[in-house]
Amino acid sequence: MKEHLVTLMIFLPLAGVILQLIIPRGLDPKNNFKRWMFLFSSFASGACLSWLIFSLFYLTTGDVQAPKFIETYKWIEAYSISYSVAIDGLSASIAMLISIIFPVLIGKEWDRSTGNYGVNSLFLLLQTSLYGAVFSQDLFLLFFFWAFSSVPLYFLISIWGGREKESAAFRFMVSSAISNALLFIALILIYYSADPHGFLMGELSGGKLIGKTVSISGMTIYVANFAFLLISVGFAIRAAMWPFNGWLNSVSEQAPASIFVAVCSVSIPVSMYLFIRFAYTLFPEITARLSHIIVIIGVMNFIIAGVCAATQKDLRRLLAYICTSGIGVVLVGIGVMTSPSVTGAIYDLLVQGLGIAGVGLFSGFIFERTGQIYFQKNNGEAAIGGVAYNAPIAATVVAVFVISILGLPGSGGFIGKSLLVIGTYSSHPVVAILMVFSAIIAAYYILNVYRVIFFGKEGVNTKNVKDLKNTEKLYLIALAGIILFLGVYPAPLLELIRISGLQLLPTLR
Amino acid sequence: MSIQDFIFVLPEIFLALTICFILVAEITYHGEKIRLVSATALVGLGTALLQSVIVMMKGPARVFSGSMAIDGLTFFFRILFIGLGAITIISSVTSKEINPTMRAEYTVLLVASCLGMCVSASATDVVLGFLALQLSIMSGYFLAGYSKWHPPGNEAAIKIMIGNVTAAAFLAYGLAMIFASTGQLNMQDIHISLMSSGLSQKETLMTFVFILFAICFPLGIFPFHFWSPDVAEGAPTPVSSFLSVGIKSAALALGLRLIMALFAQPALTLGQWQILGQLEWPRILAVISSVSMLYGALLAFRQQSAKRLMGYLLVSQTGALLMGMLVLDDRGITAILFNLLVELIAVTGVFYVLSVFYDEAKTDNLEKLKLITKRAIPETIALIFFVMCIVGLPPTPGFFGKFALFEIALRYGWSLLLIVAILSMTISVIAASRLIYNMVGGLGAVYSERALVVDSWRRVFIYVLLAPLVVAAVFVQPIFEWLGKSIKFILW
Repeated sequence: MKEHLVTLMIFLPLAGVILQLIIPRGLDPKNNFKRWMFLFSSFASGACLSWLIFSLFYLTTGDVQAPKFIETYKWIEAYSISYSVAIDGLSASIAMLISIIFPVLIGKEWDRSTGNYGVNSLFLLLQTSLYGAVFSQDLFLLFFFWAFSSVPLYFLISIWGGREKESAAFRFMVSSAISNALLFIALILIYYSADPHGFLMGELSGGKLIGKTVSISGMTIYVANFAFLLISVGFAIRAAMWPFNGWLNSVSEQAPASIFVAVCSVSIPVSMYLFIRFAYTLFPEITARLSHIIVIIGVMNFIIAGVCAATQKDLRRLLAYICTSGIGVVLVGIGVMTSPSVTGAIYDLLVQGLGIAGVGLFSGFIFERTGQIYFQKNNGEAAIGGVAYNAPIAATVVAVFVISILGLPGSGGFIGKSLLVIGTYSSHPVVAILMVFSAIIAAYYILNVYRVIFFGKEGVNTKNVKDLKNTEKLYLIALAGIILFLGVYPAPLLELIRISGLQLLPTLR
Repeated sequence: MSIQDFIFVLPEIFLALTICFILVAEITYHGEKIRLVSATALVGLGTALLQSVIVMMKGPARVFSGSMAIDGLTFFFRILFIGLGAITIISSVTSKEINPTMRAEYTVLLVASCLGMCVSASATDVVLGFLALQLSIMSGYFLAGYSKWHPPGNEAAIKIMIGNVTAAAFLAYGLAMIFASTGQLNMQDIHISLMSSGLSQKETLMTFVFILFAICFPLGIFPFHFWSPDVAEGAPTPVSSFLSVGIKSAALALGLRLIMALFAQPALTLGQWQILGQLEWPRILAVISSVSMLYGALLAFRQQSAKRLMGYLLVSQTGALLMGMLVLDDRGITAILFNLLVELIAVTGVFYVLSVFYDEAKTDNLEKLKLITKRAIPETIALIFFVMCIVGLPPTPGFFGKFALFEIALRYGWSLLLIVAILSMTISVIAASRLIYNMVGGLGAVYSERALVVDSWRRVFIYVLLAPLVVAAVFVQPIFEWLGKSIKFILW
């Protein structure tokens, strides 16, 4: 049973979607059963994951570091493509993020009157594709799932977006198509230069690509360097890294809260995770050689995005920039390549995703009640303010998310951020100091925003804001609870990540 | 020639008989209620399909003094063309664009075109191939201009006629040059004769360019692509898909045989070829392939008509197919055949759904389709899947087809071509996303219009087309295996 658990987990959400198609509309006129079915299939895959994590945790025999529960089938023999999935500490923690966020999103869309069915089906398709990308051990399978993951997102944005959704959807499609094209070229080059031709990550790891060349119209090009460049740019585009973060701005303005959360706190962390996977397993030498450049790009990201965030007057754009800035911090951790920094990077992806999801969902809460997401008008007047007087529970819950995003003690963010700083300090002390410094500035303006929204002068539209509804309470408090738990008792998960990270790191040194 | 030979061409004989039946029945028609034209045609096509399977079991053979080769390639293309004909007839039954009183003529033309395609796939005699291709395209003139009062249809018919006359002249001239220097008309004899005393480089260049131009026209690729988007837009919607896929595949089958026999020879490694003569003709093909891929994708970007947009996407797709030919390898041909198979279903699917919409809206303008799509959500989802399949997005089988083509291109060092191909694929994905946006963009709004009433037969037919694509995405391996096997029995 356990061998099939990963596969089961990947395809349970898809099964949920397919089951919906079978139920005739007459049997379930109010969509009640369908809603529960969506939630159940999303939860069920999460349950599989927790089983897997527990078994990973109690696994002591054998090679503890290597990926576990490998399941491999031949898929297309002519091109040596196989269906191969496995789980280790790193993928388990990113999958945890996915399996927490999607049930929450389904909860967010619970009361949607039209299109409930469409939104939830697309969320589940997205969940399947992201799980697939995270667990794949075969590059082709990984690309297959990852490239597909842009399709549900495109539909979500283009169907349920705001007034200028066409341009947002178009920008998203163009950037993801370019990113997929770059990855596809890299993939075919890697396949072609491996000997014998193949896609299995295990067989390609450990610098097998070093020294292989390909000639493009007379120029001889080293495959590893070229493919690494393509892959980095490809994932940077999908991770909305500066200077490729343009699409995220328009998506954050146009997409509704739940879709924005799906992009910002699931799709982007998965993109970063995949970059870690590729960089550490396939191109260890190049990553080690370029580590300074990676760190510099990370520093530029968190500084530039942080400065941009400070000037935003729109809650979602603010979050988008915070997300980019957080990705920059993670990138520093990837570039530094010490055990604490890698562990911190993965942990931070998880915790930051949860924090941004919380605040993103709050932006949906405020948009539903006041019809706007601008907390400050252009002339400096407060548009949303004094929410805490009418909605004390919301204020409390959002405080937890904000604390976690800022990395203050007691929240999960503190663990991730401090590990990153500790890991960075040993080799790049200046960068570590910059990280702390920028965190302090971020704390200043984010807390300022928090003060304006919750305790400031009451805005025109915020006079009659109602507090959280029961469903909202349910998922937001659960989310906040998870963040606090990750901040108080991080040891088991950190240990899992550390062990799997250790397996990747020796190849780098 | 013996009686035995006739058994091998039974499918073609059945097709010809079907044409006769329908004609005779139409002459004797005196206003009875039931005419059964389409049913007769379907029975004929079904029998022909059965016959081609039976004939295949007898193994490969050369018949009629070597003027036809009945081999794996023939088998594949017979299945493809007869299947295409059957799907087109079924989809025309329900379409409002085909006038029921003139259905007999329409069906005869369609089956005749199908017959021409089948013969051109098996012809190894250059004159027979020429005639068969002309039969299929000439029937296409009438089919394209079938709705007489529809100006774009008339334009398409005129364009395909003028273009084809020019292309036929090129082909005849090229073949005449070959005949002048070898004195043979049979491809095998020509091949043997060329092996012993080759053409000079200039002669090869001239013949190659002539034959290539002549093949480029029915393929609908740059520089002779102009008819293909026009036909896609102007012809009645079921015919659009028939002509787009059918003529292209017929030309591809004939082109494969011609080019492999005239300009290539088997290499020492099994399943590979090398160039015959001194001309580096794969380079010319590569240029044409890359220009068509980019050109089609870029122009698709600007279209306002859904059918025309598909037409340009197909120009780009056909350009990609050429990549499989220029590598001179069995795997390339397998990739071409796989792509054709996928395209057959996906393209008919797209045009079928568009014809459902067309019957309601009387237009295929992207802006106006918006109003229809939100009333017919299952059809829209199917349409999106078909389009994704054509542009090659995962998880559709189109993605595997594209991958097979790209992989083989890189294997033979065509890395620049590969980059152009992936670039044009990206552009066509973006172009297709414009089409898709117009389909789904209005879905989110609250609306109170009634759902579009789609005939349940039409809906079932859409699912029938959708099912093999979904299955093919999972079981790619058996299809590739089957194609690889049928390639082994080609009598070049």
